[in-house]
Amino acid sequence: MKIMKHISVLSLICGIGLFLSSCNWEQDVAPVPTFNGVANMTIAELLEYHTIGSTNSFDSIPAGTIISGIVVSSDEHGNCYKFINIEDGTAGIQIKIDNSTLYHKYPVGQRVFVKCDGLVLGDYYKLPQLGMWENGSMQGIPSSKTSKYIFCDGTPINMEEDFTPLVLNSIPRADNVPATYYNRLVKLENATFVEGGAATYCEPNTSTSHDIKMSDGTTITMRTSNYADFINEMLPVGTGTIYGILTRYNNYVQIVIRDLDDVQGFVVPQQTQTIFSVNYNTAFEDGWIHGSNWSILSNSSFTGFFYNGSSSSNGSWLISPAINLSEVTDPTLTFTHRAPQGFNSQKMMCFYTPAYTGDVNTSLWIPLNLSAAEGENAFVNEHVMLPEGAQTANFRIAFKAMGENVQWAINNITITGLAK
Amino acid sequence: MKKLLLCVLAFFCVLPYMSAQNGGGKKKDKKSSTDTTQVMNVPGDENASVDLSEGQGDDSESGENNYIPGLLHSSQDVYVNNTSYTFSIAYFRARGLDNKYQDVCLNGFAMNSMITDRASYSQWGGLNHIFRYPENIANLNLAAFTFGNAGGASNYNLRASNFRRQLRATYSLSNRTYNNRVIVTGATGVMKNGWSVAASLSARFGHNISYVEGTTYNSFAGFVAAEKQLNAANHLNLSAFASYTSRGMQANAVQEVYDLLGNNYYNANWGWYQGKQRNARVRTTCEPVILLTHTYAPKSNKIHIQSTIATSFGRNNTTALNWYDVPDPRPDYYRYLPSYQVTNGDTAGYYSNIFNYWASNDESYTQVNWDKMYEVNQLAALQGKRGQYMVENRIYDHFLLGGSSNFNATLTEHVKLFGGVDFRGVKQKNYKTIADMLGGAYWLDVDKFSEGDFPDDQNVQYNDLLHMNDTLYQGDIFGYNYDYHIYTQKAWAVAAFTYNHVDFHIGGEIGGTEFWRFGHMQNGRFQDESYGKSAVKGFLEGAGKLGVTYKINGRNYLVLNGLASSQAPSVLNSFVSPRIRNKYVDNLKNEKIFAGDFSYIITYPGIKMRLTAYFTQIMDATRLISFYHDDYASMVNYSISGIDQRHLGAELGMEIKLGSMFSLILAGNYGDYRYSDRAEVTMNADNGTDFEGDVERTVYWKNFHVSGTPQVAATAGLKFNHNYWWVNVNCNYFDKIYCDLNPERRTSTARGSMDVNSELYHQVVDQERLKGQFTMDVSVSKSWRIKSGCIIGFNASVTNLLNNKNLVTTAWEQYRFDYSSYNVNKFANKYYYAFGTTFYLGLNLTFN
Repeated sequence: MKIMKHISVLSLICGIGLFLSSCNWEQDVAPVPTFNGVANMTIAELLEYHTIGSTNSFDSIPAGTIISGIVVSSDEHGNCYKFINIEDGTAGIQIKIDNSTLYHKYPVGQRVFVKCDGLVLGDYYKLPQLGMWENGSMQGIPSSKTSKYIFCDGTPINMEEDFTPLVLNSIPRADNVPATYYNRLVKLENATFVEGGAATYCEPNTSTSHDIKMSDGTTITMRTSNYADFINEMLPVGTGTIYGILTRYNNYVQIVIRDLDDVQGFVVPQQTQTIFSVNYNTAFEDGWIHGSNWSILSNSSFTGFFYNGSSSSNGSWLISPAINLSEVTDPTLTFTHRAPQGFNSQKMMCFYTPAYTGDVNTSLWIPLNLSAAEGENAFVNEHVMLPEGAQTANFRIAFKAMGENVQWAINNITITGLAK
Repeated sequence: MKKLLLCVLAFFCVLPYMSAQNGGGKKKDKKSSTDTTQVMNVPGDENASVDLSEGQGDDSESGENNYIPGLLHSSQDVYVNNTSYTFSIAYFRARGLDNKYQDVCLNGFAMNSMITDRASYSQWGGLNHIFRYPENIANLNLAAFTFGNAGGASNYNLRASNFRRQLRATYSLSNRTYNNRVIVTGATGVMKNGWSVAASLSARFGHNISYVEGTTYNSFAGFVAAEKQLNAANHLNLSAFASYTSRGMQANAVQEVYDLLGNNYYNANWGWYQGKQRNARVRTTCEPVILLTHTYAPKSNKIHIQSTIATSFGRNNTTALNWYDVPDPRPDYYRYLPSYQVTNGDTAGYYSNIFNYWASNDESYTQVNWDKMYEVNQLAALQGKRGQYMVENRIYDHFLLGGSSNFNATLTEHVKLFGGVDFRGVKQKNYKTIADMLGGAYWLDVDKFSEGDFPDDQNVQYNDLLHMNDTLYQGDIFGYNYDYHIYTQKAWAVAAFTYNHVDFHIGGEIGGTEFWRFGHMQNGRFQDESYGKSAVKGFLEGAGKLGVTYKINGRNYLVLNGLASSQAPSVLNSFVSPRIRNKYVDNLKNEKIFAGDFSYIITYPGIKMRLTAYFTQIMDATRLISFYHDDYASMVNYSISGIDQRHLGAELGMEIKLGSMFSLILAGNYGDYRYSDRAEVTMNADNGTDFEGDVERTVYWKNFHVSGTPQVAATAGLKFNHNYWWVNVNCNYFDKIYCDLNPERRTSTARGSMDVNSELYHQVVDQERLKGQFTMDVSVSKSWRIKSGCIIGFNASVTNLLNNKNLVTTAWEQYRFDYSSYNVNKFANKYYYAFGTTFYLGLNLTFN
């Protein structure tokens, strides 16, 4: 009995001890800050309170104004300095903040609300800004006061899935870019760095501009700070997609990328190579096989192969030397031809063979469709994509013509392709 | 799991209310003294407690219906006795409780500061002969001299008649806080004429051998008491003592610095000056106490009344560097460390210079550079400019007057009554003066943080508009100057009942506290609320305690104790910016404590054991911290309220006799001390109107650990005792040592939108846990009787024999947080390490 008592007391106390050591107390988690309020003005509406071009003056904002937007800029890699850009779908705005590391507090994708009381609108060489007016100039919000004006709300959105940047394929003149486009994240498609492969993003000691050419030939300047951590990287060659903040400096439209992830999918268009061409003066010595009706005609207006039909002509071949197409992709045959008596697809034909046997009769001839219209008697440029089966090491093209009153002039025979 | 949790919590919560109880007061707590009042292993001091049998109770375990004696007050607690010294190296706090929860009384008069709530042991530092044998009441047990608190209570009897006729001298040599100590004490005992007189003198010095450089130590103390027995029942005693102590302080530092120097005891506070180590942080205390005590103790022994009128006064002064518009003179300021350079890019050359200063310990760089400060000041003086560096005094002068009267009365065979009253008032002056101009011409009292912020309002920068443009010199008051006035009144009573199988007690305390602030300066930032008297705040206080001991038999006891208490907040935490403003923290509330414990105690001659489960819930505690807030670029006052802590744990103390000479000791504590709820913060800036109101925040630190003590501590020891030889060997283990939290890092603001699973989040939010550590201690003592009435003895102890230098005693996160880059290593955690091997050697000579 007594022992039982001892055991029960001991086990109770030990039980409590065991309980304590086995407890898994969950660590408290501070919630993500939220803003208790709503925006009462869009950024596009806000921008209307400002007259662009007033670098030395400011415009005030109606009392009680609250705007909201998603942070699209980032100073993580040093290319943005003492500002954030937010946009709300209607427009974007740059907010100047006197702090050189903002990306932790205002990461890309973060929704923020901005209480504008105490802030003013101005612009820096025509780029609209929100900040504080002190001592006659636009100043960043002191870092000690940001929490009075700027309020984070929730966790950052996934920019890839939940954000659609403005897409630009062409860059108008600065004044023709809608004012609501500036300070937003834009996506330039089919853009090419003019100095791609030939220059780094930025000079070591100074901010640097690089032109970007759009597919339509218009250009935009990419502006990069020498404090960015990617300045020594080479500009990519080719074309691709560039994301960045659209800005302007007076009448220059500019883009500021945030990091190298903003430069995507750059591919070099592969160089088309001429795989085969013809020297008509020596063609027959160079391996062209030809029937008797084929000759080489050379005068002031034409140099090339010429078929001149005769009564006995019931099919005369002109066969190229062997051409190695096994190391190219997308081989294309181009040539120019003219049938002075009118084109007749039954009498003027073009073939290729993947493997010439040495005998025209035993080789496999696959016809190629020509685009010349029946009866056409002017020069026609043919552009024939050679099928995959043609890409052999022993490829040949051939022209076959027949008939008495048939003439057929062919030149500019070229095969091009992309190196594999 | 949750259900189980609830059940156990319910069990704990109900404990204090359900039970009634008795004087479990068996525990004799030995103060876990640290710092200036290390109580050493003086023979007959704590070693004397080895023999615990005390003959309590008869040997019979039967006697179901017979009276079984209770647990004696005087007996030593087997857990406390075997852990208090061995655990002190790790700054172990029993049950995780701050010292402020322990009442320390002298002749029944509580000495806990009315400002800090903690007893200041430095007031009697060095007087170890006098302050040797406190009556210790562990934890929640019944005390006869005070109502007590969650951390227990102790009382020192300083009446002259308490010291027997003796002349005693002790010389000690040590490499701990001091090197040499001499104490001489004489007492007459009760003489035929009814008088008793006792006196003690002590001196302590430390200059040479020390773990921490620059920590010189000088202390002188004296005690005198005279008592007259007026008649058979009445005694009147006057005791007075004072201890003057001046010592160079140690600074904590970040691990980076310790690692660079290969020295965990690096002290940034000192620097070379005129060929000597000069410490910028010197604490000097001298706070004498005078106690006039009347004791009424009639022969009948049915009643005992002790009344004391006491006063305490004096100065507590700590020097510190001050500077204006010049680089921070502290050598380990974060910008002077290599890590700061690394994070700042293109300064590689600079980095290697700084790294080399540290790696080679260039003391002109790694220590305070006094010459440079003199040079800067003298150059400024030549141009007629103000001084830019100086040493300031941060002074607290207090004057306390109070009285207490305690009685205990035996009412019947079964009922005893204890009770008392206590009235007191204190005025503490808090101000700064110029200690040393360091060659500067003069000083101006402007706030360096405010100056730039309000260019339109010149007044803002002045700390005292009443003396705006005074040029200040050595000794002049500057910065802040204000008084605290506090008055408290208390009455308490406990009834204790004793029956055959059950002892129990029940009691209560009621009281009140009033306080206010009086500003002597009109601060330029808060012109309307800095000068003069603040509003008066009053708080009603109360407490109740219950205890029951079930005496299974004379060898086995079950003890259940409970305490509920509601105490006024500390004045220190009650003003939003006490140095300069009269404004109170909003919603000041009493701090509540609910505590309970349940023990199983066995007391066989061959084995003694106490096993206890305990629970303490602290609610609505407050704290005020000040620090530089990077986000606001300002010094801020951070007033934390609603701090809730839950301390759960179990203690085991066991002593097993192995034959006649050896005993085996097993003792330990497993605790779990956490913040049990979120806390609220109100923040405001010292530098003025910057915030446009106070900023409020919630601190999400629920279930984070409370720091300040290892939560796990254990010791296994062997005691040897034969022929006046005492040898103790202990192996100790400490674990669950947590870093003190910066509350700001657990707010929504700091979290921002960080992903909880990100590495950065964990860096910012997770609490550091330091590695568990082993230590080992050995002590030996022996005494001889040379001739009749003359005893010579020595005792020697070696603490941390294995020279473990990795035991962190205190760790905390800096309050400054890098809001820009979220780099927690920019203001990294700071640490104090326990000393490696230390020794103590004492020689005693006693003439009876």
